[in-house]
Amino acid sequence: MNILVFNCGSSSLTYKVFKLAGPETIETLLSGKAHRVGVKGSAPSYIENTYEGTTQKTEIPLRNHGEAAGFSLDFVRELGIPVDLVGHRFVHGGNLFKNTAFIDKDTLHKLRLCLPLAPIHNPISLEVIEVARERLPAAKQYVAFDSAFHSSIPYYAYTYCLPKKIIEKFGFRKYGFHGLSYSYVINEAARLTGQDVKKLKVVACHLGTGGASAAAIRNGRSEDNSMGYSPLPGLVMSTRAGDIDPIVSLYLMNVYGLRSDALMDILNKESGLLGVSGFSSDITDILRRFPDDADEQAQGRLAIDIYVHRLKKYIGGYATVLGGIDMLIFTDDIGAKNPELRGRVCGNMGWCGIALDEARNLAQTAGEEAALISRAGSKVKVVIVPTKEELVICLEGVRLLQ
Amino acid sequence: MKLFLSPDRPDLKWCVAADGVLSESSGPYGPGVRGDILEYIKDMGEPEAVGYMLFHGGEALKETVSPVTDEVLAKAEKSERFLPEDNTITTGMLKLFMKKYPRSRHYLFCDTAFFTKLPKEASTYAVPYEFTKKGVRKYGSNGLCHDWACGKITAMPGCGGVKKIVSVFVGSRTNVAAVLEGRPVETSAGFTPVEGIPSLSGCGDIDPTIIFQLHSTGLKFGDINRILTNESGFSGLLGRKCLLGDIVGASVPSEFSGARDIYYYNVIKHIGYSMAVMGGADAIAISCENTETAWTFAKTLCGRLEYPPLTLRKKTALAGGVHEVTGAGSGLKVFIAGYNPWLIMDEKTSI
Repeated sequence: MNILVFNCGSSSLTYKVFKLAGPETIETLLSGKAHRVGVKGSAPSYIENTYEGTTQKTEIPLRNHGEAAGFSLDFVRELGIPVDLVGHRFVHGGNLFKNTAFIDKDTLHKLRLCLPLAPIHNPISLEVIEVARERLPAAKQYVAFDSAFHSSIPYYAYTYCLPKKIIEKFGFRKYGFHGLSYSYVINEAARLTGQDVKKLKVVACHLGTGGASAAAIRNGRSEDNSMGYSPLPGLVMSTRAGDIDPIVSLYLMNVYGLRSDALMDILNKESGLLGVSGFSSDITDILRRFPDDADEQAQGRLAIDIYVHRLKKYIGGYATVLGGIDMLIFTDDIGAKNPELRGRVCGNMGWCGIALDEARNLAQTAGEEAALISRAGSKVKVVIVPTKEELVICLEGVRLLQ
Repeated sequence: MKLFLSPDRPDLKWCVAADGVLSESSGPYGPGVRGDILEYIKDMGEPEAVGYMLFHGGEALKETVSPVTDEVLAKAEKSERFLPEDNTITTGMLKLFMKKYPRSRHYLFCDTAFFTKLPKEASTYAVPYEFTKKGVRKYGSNGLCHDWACGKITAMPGCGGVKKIVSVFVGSRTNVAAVLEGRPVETSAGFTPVEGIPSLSGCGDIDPTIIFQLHSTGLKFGDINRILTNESGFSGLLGRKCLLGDIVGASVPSEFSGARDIYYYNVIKHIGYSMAVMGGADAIAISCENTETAWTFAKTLCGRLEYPPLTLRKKTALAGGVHEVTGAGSGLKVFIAGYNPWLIMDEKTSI
């Protein structure tokens, strides 16, 4: 049986076809990624496809995610790969979805109700779902949610202390994100160390090139996440501000006359590492680059310092609410591939049992496989795990069929 | 005789210190309602000193206490925009009594000054730097109390080795500060005291997206400010008036138990933030204007904080000031501080 998985990013679309060769064996038949989808600019959009060891790159205008999905489906058809099941990632299922679900009329209706919860991510996922349903009417389709893993967060961690009536009217609460990634990496990390995930207290850090979050996980269940009602709060991200006093926004609107929608854009797209450094949203770039200008240099350093400071706070805060931890996980592009950052984050954290093995940490730059990077005697096992969101979505489909 | 004043929104609190005796009073304050305090002090004569508490000094006021000059007054007025409702009470009083008692010594106490020394990585929000240059940063809260409590602790006999203190101010706006060798390195309170741990009427940490959603329904920023600052917190959440005493206990009436759980969860998370920034802690200081409440808070915290484990010694009578209450096997030294801002103001205005 073959499962096609779509994973929408804000300006990209990843897709993979998995073949279920046996109960425990899953092969990747085909993988592809559409880049710069819907991005206006001088660089063209393109699709990369990898099939039987060969990667082929095609420059092609991609005005939206629906078009990108259409081209991906063309490619699958040209190769003559049959598709039995289609899985989609949906970032924010609100309180309407706590589990992966088959897509039918009722599901579609509920997905539409979820659109405003993640205005950047949710509408493009729905677009892809609609194209896939039209093009593959015979294949069953399902949707897996990034917020679902966090439905176990207890009320004392998810409640915002707002007036009761406002909470009832708007449904404001913390949801949490990167759940598909977390559910995968905690199992992979436990497999690596030979521990039982159901008996571990874990802080996991999903540090992506776009979004980033940290999660407190006890016995395999999420207890807190640094993102909130939306993917804006928490850690410093490439262009998202993360945590900020709510009154700051009101102050800027009041004293400086900034418009609400403009400010929301600034906090999402012009803040974070880009906002502080003034020259880059890419942490690797900021760490490597030494601008000639002394001011730029200082701003770059400050951006990294704030990023590290904020992440350390969350690791310490979650370690404390969990009553001490057994494991610290780093995942996604920044987490799995940036030893310098991991080194700084884990420095001076002996108080909660974290002791990094410097050599092991420095050796892990590719982030292609799970690895232990803590010292032999470290109370907390520090592990890097590359995340595989598409595989998790595939496995969700397998589970759903059973 | 000295006179000390502090905003206590919507009221004004004041204290007369004479011959070592402090008498506190309070009354409503607002445009046109200065009657209470003027009536109260009319036969009092001219005080030798007048002290004013300013809750938010912005970037300009870097000293915890300064003799009031034209420059200081101008700085205080400039800081009104950071916390208008509280700060205008202070500046209003300042102008009133400077005029009324021209021969007295006047002192301004700034509750955020201690935190102007926060390291940049702790004080800077990850927003475009032009906002930072406009004064958007963390200012902290209750600096007078954190500074005082930590200073007293390190001066206590046998406490020379206490370098890293998690300082908790327990009050209507509870907040946590990390104090490393006498200097602040992190605080839960932010640009305003609204950020951080949810308070009795303030929302604490929330997703900033919420503000934009509320705004899109037609609410004005003044309305949203009022909702987040005065109508949220535990009182807003429960839809009924909630006092500190309702939520600090280990066992509280069932209608308050959810609020109590949220309160301590946030307190403990912020204690963890402080430890992470300092690389652990040697001591935790719990300051409150009411020492009984501080003790109750410490006791409940001991039952909820697993790491590091805290224990208290047997309870004895606690007067004001700072007391060590560490029990056997405690992972951190524990101190309880009976905070009285008037005493500190009295002390700091003595020549």
